[in-house]
Amino acid sequence: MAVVNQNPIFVRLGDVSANSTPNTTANMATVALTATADYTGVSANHKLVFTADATNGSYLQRLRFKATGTATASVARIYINNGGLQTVAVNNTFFGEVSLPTIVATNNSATIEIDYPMMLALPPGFMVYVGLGTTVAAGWSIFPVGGEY
Amino acid sequence: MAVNFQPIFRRQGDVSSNNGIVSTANMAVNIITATGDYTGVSTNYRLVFTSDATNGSFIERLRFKSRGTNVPTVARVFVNNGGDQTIAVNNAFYGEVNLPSVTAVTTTSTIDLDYYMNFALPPGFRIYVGVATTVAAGWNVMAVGGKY
Amino acid sequence: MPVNQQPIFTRQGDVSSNAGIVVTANMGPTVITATADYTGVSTNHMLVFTADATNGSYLQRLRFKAEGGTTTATCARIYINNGGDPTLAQNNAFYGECALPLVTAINTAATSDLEYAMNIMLNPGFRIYVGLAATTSAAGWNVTPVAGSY
Repeated sequence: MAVVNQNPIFVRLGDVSANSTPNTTANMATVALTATADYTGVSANHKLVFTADATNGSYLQRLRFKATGTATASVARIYINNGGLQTVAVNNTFFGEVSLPTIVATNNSATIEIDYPMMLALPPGFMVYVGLGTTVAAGWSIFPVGGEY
Repeated sequence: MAVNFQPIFRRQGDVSSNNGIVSTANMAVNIITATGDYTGVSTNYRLVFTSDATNGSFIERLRFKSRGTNVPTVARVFVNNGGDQTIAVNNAFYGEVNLPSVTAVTTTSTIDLDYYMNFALPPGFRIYVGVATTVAAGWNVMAVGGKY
Repeated sequence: MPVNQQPIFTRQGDVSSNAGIVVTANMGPTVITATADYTGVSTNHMLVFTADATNGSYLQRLRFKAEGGTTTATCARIYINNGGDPTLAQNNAFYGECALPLVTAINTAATSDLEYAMNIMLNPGFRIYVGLAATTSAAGWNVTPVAGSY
């Protein structure tokens, strides 16, 4: 009989990048800007924001949203992808939405920081994509807070 | 690699900007000149924390202290992947901190501002901070963290 | 066999419908058409989760998200299947229901994230099927499990 796991698992390494390979291009500055116009996650305007460790998977605690300037109201749509082609709908599950308010950029006050809790363990190689409901001028930075098992 | 069954804890505190290496500007990180961007590429950003090169680090918070009289501004916080900070794709815009107007005084304290982060950074990652508008005296930024 | 005196923990997260296998329709099944039964036998039920084939799985919750357009009010019915043919009533247990409200899609605000707590250990190979009590709009409801394999 196969042995069932009797030990809790913990993250062994923090992971706050989009592509689980730290020093690659476009790995950190994930900014969603252009409307995606779907509920399936297939639009090329979706941005990859997190990739689970390829061997043991990862824990994704939350996504941090920060406006990178003045932006009109929108909504962020969050998809979990099974590691397959993101442009194929059956590889994506529509997981959640975050209201993104109107932001007026200012240099003497902080704008809102929006944390969306995910709180789930992702299987190896699974990915998270995010897109916007409407196009905005400056875009929203999306930062994952997670860790590799 | 086998999955990890043990919680991880900090082995050593780290409150310097560059892993405790005795180098110039390692502790006295002062943000003073406007950065003018949301990408982290300006050379007016200051390195405030570097995670351990082997196991990474836990970053608990950033402490801001005014170094004199300053007008209001906002500090912008970026997480860098260890790459060239002047290249936008290496920086993630993480957060902002309101820095209020402060008048220097010698008979009472001014505000201690703590910005909590509370997450684990991969090996070699860095934190950069800058101000949105130039101020007269500047703000000292110290990270409170620890190495895994 | 001696009794087990140790707690067990999930070893790997699972958020797919078919045990993480990369197959078509593995992610985010959409329930859209009425099932018209309380037995789980209608082919309009959608497979939303499969427990690990060796040690089973822990299913924490099901996440429901309206997929755009206007969805009329309905009710999701949740069945636990023993791994057998779901079109045979004796293989399905009617486990629960989740009210799904009328939703009007909008591009400038989030619609509700609906979570149905399961918190149940599933036998190896057991499955979860979900169907709707009333047919909703063209877009339907996406169902994501949050779970882990033992």
